[in-house]
Amino acid sequence: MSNWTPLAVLAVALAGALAVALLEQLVGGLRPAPIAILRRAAALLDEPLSAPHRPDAWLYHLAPPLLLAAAMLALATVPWAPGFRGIDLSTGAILFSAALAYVSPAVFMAGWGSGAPLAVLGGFRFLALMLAYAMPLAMVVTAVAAPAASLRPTAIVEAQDSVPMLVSQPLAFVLFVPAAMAVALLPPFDLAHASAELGGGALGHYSGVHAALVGLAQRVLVVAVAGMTVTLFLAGWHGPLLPPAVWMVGKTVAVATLLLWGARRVPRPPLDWLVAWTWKLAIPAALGVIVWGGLVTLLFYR
Amino acid sequence: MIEGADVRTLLDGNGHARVSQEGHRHQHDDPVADEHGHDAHGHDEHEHEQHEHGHDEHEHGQHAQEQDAHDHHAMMEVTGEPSADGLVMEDLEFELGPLSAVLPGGVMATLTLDGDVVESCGLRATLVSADLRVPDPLACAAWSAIQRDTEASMGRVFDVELERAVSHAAWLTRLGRVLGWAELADGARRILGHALSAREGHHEALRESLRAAERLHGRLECSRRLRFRLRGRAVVDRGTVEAYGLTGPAARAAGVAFDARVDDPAYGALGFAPALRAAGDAEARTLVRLEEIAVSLGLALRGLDHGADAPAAPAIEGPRGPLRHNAVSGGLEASGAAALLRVAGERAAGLEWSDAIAAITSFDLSGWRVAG
Amino acid sequence: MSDLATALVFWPAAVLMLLTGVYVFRTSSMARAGLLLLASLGIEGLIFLALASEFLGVLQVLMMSGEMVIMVFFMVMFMADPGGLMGMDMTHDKRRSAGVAVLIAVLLAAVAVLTDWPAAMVEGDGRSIEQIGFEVMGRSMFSFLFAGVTILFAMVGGIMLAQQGGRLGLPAPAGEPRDETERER
Repeated sequence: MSNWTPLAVLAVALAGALAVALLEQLVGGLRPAPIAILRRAAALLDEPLSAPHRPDAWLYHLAPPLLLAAAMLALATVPWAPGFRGIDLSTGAILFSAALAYVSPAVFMAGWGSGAPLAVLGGFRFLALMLAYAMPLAMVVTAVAAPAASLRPTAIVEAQDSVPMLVSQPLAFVLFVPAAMAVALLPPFDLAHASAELGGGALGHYSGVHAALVGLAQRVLVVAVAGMTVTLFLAGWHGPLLPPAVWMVGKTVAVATLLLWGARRVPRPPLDWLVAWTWKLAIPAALGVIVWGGLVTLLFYR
Repeated sequence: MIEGADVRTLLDGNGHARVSQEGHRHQHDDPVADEHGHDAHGHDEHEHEQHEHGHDEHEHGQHAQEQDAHDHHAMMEVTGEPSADGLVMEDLEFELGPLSAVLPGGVMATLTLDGDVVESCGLRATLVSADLRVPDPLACAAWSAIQRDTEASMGRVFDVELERAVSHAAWLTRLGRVLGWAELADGARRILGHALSAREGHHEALRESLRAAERLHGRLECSRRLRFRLRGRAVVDRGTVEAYGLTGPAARAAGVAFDARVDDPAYGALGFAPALRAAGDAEARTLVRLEEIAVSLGLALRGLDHGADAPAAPAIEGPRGPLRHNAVSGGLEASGAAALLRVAGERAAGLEWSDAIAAITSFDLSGWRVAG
Repeated sequence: MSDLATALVFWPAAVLMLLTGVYVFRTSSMARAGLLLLASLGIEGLIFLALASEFLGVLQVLMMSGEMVIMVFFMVMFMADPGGLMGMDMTHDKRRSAGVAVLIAVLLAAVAVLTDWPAAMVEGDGRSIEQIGFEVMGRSMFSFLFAGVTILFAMVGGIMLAQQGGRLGLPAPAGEPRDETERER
């Protein structure tokens, strides 16, 4: 990690957020209009702050910065190229999960802090969802790190130079993607902040700069989650002919598009159903994934 | 934020709405419409606290201050009935609407939540039209058609059926958004767009709209995703229909073949059979309306070509039910409108929040108060 | 990290950790209490990171988030007045408990200060994860198993208590008012 890393991560975050906004428009069938997006963001910043009826002020005002900080930290752990690795800690993969783990307190704080019934309901729903979904997210990382014998994201990428993890551990990928979509606040897991079902829910009482921070954080989360999916499962920057950074960015854009496209095709399942299937199926399957990862390590990576 | 029970929205001659309030209500200084240019968030939830103490998983608000704070044991007490999963919680009562993103525009709900399960729900329409000839501006072609003479009755069919298609397509977009299913909302918006341009006079768009409607209907008829979200929710059976006097697509979804168009000779000339389902649940209501979109667009197309005249009909089938001009009292009535609100509220009770909202949406309520 | 940098992170973080810990008990709002505890233990994770114990620090940060969120959940479920609007006094038997608390604090401080801790310079490489892994799976396996099972029992037991009305008494049968305030409604 060099002195330029924080600035570089910030630049990636802003550019990535704009790219995700454009992808959202593309996937929704609208014509991409970057200038309009930037203008709308600027208008948001100009909007006055209006607090809800009975806020818990500390929690209400601290939630958007916490959400953005968690998103930025998660993004910082993603390595983009051999020359630009983000904060390349030896425990980078766990740091990714740790950063994303702060999304649920942030959303809860937003909901509780807003004080309105539907906001609090949204906050609690998200807690219930993430208590279930955080576990496959973290367990799968363990399984993917085993063949690489390291938690450092660059080492995990290097371990995939012949075969991507998607091929050697497909169940891990299948468990990781919904958990990642849930933590990135993407539909169909958007039951905490659905506009038509909860009136904006936990995140619906923000305006002005808070709303801008929340919108930015949501998109940075999508970039971070897509980037880490590529790092862990799709061999990161490996690929013939083109420079590594191009491969990495291209794969990330492809994964993000897939996530956004898939998000539109499924109605939002009820919370009970989501949580039941995770506790009963996904978490035992994640245990199985860990065992499988160990087997794969012993057989192929030693 | 606008508190209180009644908001009278007056439409002036140009169709612009003026919002005025009555009585003792006071307005808070963050009106929803100005705040968010991009999306309507439900800022109008109005928390209505009535309980003094006890614990509640969702409670974050004011308690009445009668409780003695030094009474430690009483403060730790848990009051209330155990809910379905055995956990004892206090109820949360609040009002939603009339400008909530969660409910159709103008509908106000008084909700009691037990956890995230709706314990009771009372719905009412709050908007009153200033134009006495059009009690419900969402069905203005149908209301106007009743009061017109027999001339150009095929024109009447065209107007009424196109309006039905537009109304149902707009409702379907809303359903897609409530279910969080963007693909459905996109498909419905496509139908809506073409139908709206057909209404402006571009009649070739009718065929586009019909094609899109038939495609969407075919896909949703056996859609597992639709079934997953809507089957078995808010069942309204034949007995309920007859007891409450329900009409419109909600009744037809329960198998009651009551449609004012059956007696209309103009429709007889064009060949018409009402869309029926038997299950009476939210899925059935959705499919009935989907089928009605396609049928209506087809009727509109055929009505364009037909040209001949037919005698006036005593009643018109609007998008939500039959409308009639009561010659005795001189008033306009929509039978079954009030019953629909009551049934929707009753069926939402006992459902978890997302199911409850989907169920309420499946009734296609209108926020405009009409007699009957 | 150099000594100065470590000290610059360690001492303010320790003070902040203690402050937030104290505020956990000063606030009456259950949500705030849980989140302040989360802040306190998250800062502890940062201290670990400053002391070059990367894996433990990150793990601490990760685990505390989930744990505190569960705690907030349980607090709001079980405690009356979770919004803290009526002011709550959580202390009982003040003089004796204060005495015991001071005594234990002095004892722990004595242990911390007077023990001859083995001091070693830690190299900042990634082998710490391996060492921790061998430690957990070898010498400390029994204590971790025991702790894990105990926590599981506590959580399951807590939910069972909730189902039966818990230690605060069973809920009143239907139709019968619990006390005057409910009768007044």
